Amino acid sequence: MRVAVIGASGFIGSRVVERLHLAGDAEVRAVVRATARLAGPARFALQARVADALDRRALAEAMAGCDGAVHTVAGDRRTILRSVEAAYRAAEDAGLKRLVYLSSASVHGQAPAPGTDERSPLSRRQPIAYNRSKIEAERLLQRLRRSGRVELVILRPGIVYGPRSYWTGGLADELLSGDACLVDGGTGICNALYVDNLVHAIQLALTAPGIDGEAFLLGEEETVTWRDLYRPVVEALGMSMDQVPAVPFPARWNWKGPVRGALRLLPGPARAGLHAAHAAVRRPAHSPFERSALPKPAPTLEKALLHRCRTKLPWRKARERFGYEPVVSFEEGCRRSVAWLAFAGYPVASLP
Amino acid sequence: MGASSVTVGISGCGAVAALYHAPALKLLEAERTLRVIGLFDPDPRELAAVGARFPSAARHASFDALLADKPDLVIVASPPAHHAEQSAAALRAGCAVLCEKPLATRLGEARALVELASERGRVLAVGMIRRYLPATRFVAEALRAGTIGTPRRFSAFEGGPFDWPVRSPVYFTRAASGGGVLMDIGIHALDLLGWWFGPCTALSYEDDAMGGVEADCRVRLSYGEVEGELRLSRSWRRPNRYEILGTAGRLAWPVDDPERMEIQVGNSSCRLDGVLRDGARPAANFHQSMVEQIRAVCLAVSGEPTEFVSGADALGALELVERCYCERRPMRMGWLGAEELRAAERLADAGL
Repeated sequence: MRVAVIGASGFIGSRVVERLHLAGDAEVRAVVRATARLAGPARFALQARVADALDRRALAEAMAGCDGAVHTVAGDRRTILRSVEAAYRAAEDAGLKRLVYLSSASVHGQAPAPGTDERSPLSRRQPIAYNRSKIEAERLLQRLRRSGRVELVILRPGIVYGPRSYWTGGLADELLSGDACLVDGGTGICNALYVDNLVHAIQLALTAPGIDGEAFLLGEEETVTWRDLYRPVVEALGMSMDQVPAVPFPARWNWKGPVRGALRLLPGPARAGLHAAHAAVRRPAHSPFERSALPKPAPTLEKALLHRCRTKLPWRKARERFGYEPVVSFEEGCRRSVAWLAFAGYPVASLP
Repeated sequence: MGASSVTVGISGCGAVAALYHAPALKLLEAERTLRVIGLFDPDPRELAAVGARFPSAARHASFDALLADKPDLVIVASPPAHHAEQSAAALRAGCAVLCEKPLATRLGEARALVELASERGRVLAVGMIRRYLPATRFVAEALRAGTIGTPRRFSAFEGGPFDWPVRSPVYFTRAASGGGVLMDIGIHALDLLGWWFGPCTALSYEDDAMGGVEADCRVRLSYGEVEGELRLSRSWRRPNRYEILGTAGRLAWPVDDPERMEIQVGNSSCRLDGVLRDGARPAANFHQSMVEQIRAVCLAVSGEPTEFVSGADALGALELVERCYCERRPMRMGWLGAEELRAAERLADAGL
């Protein structure tokens, strides 16, 4: 089978290329948006194409002769929506049989309600723009599929960690710079998915019969917390979990959104004045006899919501419909992630 | 011949010519240090783009036509595979040469160029702009003066996601570029280390090429009693930094800031983190360094006393690169499964 990987230089795309090429399971064609992005795929002697993910014609040329494609392009709302439409139409132009789209479990929100599964209605009334964009992208693709010829499978992975991921390398960066924190002590459920389990699901989804037009949540056997995800990286860097500040869920987001909306309606100078006044009130008085303390790390809204998750998302549909089973355990996924940190030049104290 | 009469021909109008050489040459033209009289690039669009900045210069579709203009100095900024052949042709035509790094993709070719330049009595300079930066010069002078005692250990990391605006996927082949990240930024790093510490006495090398060219590599080097590691990456960003530990202190240079230097003396818990001011050589960044480099070569072409990195000076780094590729071992990629590791080793061996 010949598979085009759109977004082959990204975190997930690069591991798809690496895994498929090394395992010899498929003939991989790496598709990247700029020539410079070939630096990673060029480690291998494999087919590679440069095509803007928003350019239907360029994508069709890049995918010519492939049987299937996987769309792993990340970006803002415009990029997400325009790239899925370009990819689907290009897949039709190139005569592909199936397109696998990497959506996200975040279409259900960062902290989904108990009982959430693929049948749960998706709501655009969510505070995170990324979630809304992914919902729109899924809906757009489903519309294109209804009138199109290319089969479509949508995958909804959760927190994908592993080599080159934000949840591994980015976390290490935050720990080293003192910006890491755990909301509510990190006791919330982390719907973690090691990248190789996602790649395995992609491989199955490219060819499994009877799943056209379906969306699938993906996960692992283990139920883990955010502390569990952080711990291997923390300890690999020679730190202890006590050094990761536990912060409460920031209450200010309860009002900030509506206030920001109202502020936008004010003229610029008035808005600047209010911001300055607010900053002055928030700034603590500082005594010349005290050493200035470093500011405490603050989580983003997305991270704060994720850390508050209390629901383990089910992935039985993927198991039942196309035989997905995780191929790497959580413990092994963490070990491999730390091994990559050592490779990438982080000060890993000891390899597990 | 005075410096103001140096005529210049540019071979290769790609990224380095457009982003670095052209602005520097414009500035030096305004100072009447030189005059660009001709340009060559096989790609008419690239030729036109750089040519537009030098309206009085002739645009040539062949390298021979550029030489027919008989410029005093030819700047070779073509892809690395053409460096040796074009530099040799220019020297034979009686021109001085400023060749971008690497001087050649093979050490034998580089040595032949040095001999040719000597026979013909022509200047052969190599684009090692880092030697003009305040920070690298300060390190050289501080080591010579014994500011941190006798150097014992060093560590260096350079790189990040590759974003140089290359125009062709062929760039990522051994045939066109002579290698990957080691041949690219590695040659700069090895040149600096050799300049600071003297001849390399031992090395070991590993990279992640699996049939293509390396995106990541690690070189362990000894320069007499100075030992250390150079880590280069095109895949992941870590702080770009050189650190040198001596018997009486420590020096550190954050590569992205050519004017910054950190110094620690003895076992002091304090370190001086300061800005270097160089009244004699005001190259505060890589662009100004390019200006200083071309100015120095023009002075040399005019027979005036000056300092520049000659072909002979550049042989040391190229020799180390060739040794690295000869003694290459695969990097430890602990995130790969057992089956993948076997395939990786097989592909790595086949790619040599």
